[in-house]
Amino acid sequence: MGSDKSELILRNGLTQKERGIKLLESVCDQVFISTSEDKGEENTIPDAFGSVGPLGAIASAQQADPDAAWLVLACDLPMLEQDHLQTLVDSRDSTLDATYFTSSTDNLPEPLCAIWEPSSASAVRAALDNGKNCPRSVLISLDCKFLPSPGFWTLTNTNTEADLVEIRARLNQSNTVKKITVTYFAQLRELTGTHSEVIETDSETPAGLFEQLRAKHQLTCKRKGMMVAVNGDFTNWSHSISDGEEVVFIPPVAGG
Amino acid sequence: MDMFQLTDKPIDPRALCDTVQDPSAGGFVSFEGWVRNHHQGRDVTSLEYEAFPALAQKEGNRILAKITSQHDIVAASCTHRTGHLQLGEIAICVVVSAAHRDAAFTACRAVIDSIKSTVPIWKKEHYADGTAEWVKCHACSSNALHHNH
Repeated sequence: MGSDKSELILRNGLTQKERGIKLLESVCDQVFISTSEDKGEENTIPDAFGSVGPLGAIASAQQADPDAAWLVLACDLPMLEQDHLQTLVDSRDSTLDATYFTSSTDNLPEPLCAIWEPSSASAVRAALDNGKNCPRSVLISLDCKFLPSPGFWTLTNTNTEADLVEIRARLNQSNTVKKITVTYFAQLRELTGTHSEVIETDSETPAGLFEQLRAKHQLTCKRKGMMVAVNGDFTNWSHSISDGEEVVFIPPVAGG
Repeated sequence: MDMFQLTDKPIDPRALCDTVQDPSAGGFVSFEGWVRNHHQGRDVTSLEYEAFPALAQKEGNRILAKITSQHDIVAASCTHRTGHLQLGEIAICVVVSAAHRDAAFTACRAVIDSIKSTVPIWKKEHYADGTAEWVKCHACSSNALHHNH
């Protein structure tokens, strides 16, 4: 979003980072922050493998303390509560490589709210060495304990402006239930098997509605690269949808 | 008549040309997009076009109005075909008339580029091996439970 999402304040006057630390302190002995640069600050783990994203951060932590089991938590999970982390810790199986929640949309691992055991370190390093930086793929390749999704919105990130609008509405409970007509064209029409459907949704934005429909129809496409239209014209993903509106999701166009 | 049209019938470029003819025009440029038998190394046998008609119409008109106002041209028009097209058929035709050629060439190019980037029309390629794929949306077409990177 062009700003540091860990510094966003969404709940209890705390930044997302402060809130994450607080949540982790309730279930862990020590809490460390992954940072891109080494500023010599206490309780930070600078990236030791360059700018390769979260998997590099996990490898850096495992290198810093190879004997520790690391509960890895993304800094931007405003809907996550303490009892979800407690469930993760209580359900942990330390004889396996990791313990994770599955995603409510696609049943894939949620790597950034997961416990990575020391035995996962070699696979993490091997992936990085092969230029593969996807933590999900590493978890899929390992022997893990997986838990059911802790709730549809629990592990929603704040990656875009629309995510923020959706999350704020849910935190404030200002989102309302509405009936929306969704029309599909081209590949989405084929993948959903329908041209049009009326959906009852509590989503505030087309972005939230799309996540619900991704789960309903098991779609792999992501919002990135797609456009959205409401009532016959383009609009933003953060638009507030109203009862009776017509929504069309527009995958990358290919006319001409 | 709208400056942008969608049609499920074969396009007649000559008829479209007539819509931009004007005594003040000294230059005429047209672009036709044809169904080609190959794409990224694969043998293509036909193309299927599908539009979100209401918005394609609206966006196509907006593009033509904008480009007409930005360039020193007399008139511009465009027709896009939908449905299942065979090799060699015209998928899109853009026509522009202007007093002088420079503006006509530039505007014609701008129209086709803009239409390809924002007008909600999709294209499914049918291949010689019997498979078919929607262009530019490989991630959407893969199996939902298969994680691909």
